Amino acid sequence: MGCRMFKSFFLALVTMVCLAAPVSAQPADLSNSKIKLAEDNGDGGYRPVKSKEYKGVRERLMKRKALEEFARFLSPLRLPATLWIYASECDGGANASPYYSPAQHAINMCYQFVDAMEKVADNVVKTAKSKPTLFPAGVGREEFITGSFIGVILHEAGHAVFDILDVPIFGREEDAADQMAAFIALQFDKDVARSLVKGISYLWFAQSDPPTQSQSDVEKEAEQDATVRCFKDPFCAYSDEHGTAGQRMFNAVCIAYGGDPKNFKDFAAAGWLPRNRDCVAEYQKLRFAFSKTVYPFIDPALMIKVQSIRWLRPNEMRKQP
Amino acid sequence: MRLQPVKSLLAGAVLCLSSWFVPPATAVAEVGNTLENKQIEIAYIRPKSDVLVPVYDDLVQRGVLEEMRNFLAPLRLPRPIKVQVDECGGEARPYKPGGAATVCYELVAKIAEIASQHAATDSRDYTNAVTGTFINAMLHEVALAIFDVLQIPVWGREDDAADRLTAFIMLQFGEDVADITISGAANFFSWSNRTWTGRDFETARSPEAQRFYNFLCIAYGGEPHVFGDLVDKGILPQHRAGRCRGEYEQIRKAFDMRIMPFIDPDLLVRAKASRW
Repeated sequence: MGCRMFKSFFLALVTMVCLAAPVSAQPADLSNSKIKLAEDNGDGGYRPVKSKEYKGVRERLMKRKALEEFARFLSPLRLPATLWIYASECDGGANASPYYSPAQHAINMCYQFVDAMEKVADNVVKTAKSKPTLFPAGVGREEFITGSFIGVILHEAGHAVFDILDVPIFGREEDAADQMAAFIALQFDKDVARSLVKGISYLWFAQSDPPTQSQSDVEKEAEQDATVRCFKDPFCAYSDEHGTAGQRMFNAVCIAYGGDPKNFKDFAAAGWLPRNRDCVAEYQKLRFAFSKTVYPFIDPALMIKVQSIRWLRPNEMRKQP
Repeated sequence: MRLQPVKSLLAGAVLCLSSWFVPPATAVAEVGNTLENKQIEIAYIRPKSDVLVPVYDDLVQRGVLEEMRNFLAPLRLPRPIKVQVDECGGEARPYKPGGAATVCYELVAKIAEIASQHAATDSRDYTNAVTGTFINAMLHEVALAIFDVLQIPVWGREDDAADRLTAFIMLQFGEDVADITISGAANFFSWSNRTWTGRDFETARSPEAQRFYNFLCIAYGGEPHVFGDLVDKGILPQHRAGRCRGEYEQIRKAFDMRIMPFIDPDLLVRAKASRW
């Protein structure tokens, strides 16, 4: 699953992170001249679809004012360069996912990803219901769609922040962006944090790790595309710059538990917590990295305002009958 | 990672160590005391297991820790780092804040065992794998200690960060050192042949295959003319290779911002001028 999806949600995730004390008020003064919707021909940043199947997703995002809200969520960030946000039917077909473009300083929320999450949701909810021991927290359809989507956008926002703020990254950037998403998720109130962590971790649970059995030579030869062939190979599949689905799932839960053990103790009891890792220490290191490299660029007054807003309203993302 | 039976590893370990890539006497003589760094404290801890004593003896004879101390001479640290080799009861002893950077005798033995299964013990591939992997292991632990001592904010998984920093450092000392260490360590990772499934992915360490590509990507990104064959031969896939220059620049910038202020530039030049 692409990190690019996560980039565009990162800003929204940041906003959510600030939700320590959810209030219904909608402050009007959360504008930030360095965070803008990339409008084109009056589309408001929501590019027209090429395929009819994504028309509904576009309309729901517009109705939800997803871009506008994401921009408001990110408003506490004091960026030295403008970050542009827009949504479109991305290249890459049904598997396209949100991405951050360093060249354009832009996050593109691909319509396809929302559609994909809506399709994955039924299986995730069904699995969670059939395995209550493994999924003690349960998950609702809208909760999963919203949580996974915001998790991906926060990941992409992480890429944007790393790039625009020139944050020094010693580890792999994709893992760093995952960390940013999980860290921001924990800055919300406990219910929101759980919904986001569920969305992120259950999404990765539903994905596949690299193959363990070699494809036959015949199958390999049949695959003309080198990249496709690589990702079917049990060794070459690890060449991706992203972690495996399993790694990303355990990393997210580790950060969540490390940041708030009480709120995620049921995850630990159900076996989602990685063994032999000091997740509290890992979270503390992550918080230290955030405080040293990103926090100086956050406007504290705007942060308080953002934290006073209730951002997560899954029902509004619901597909209309 | 499962520990191999130590006895079966011993013969390979001795062979491995006896083919160390640069005769230690030469290296120490060329570097001399001028590059010694008293902030790097070294210790060879004598193993309790008799079977590991030959490994210990060989490392002592080779003076590997003294050479590592010289190699790290340009570092100006706020407090000392202890670098040691020890019997761990396993292949790794995770670094703990304020603790020692430790390479385990058991890992040294395993390196030799695996290398001997894939290359003739008198071959360049074998020597490079043994040498490169040992240096990688030691610098990996030292990198974790540097993160701790310098209080460096680390984004991404810390063990991957240590690998990336290690690969970056290995590229700063000439093509020969880069070739031996990067290629050697990468070969070792590819030979490990461990299949990861399910809960294996819960660990903070990355699969050998991931480390293989991470190493090669930093190498290709930093020295495309030296490591270009990796792409030409399809060892480093195009979809990753295209990002490697950026990955290298990312670790270089991080190094420049967070570690370079703690490097003595004159000693760095002298270290680079030395034959390792």
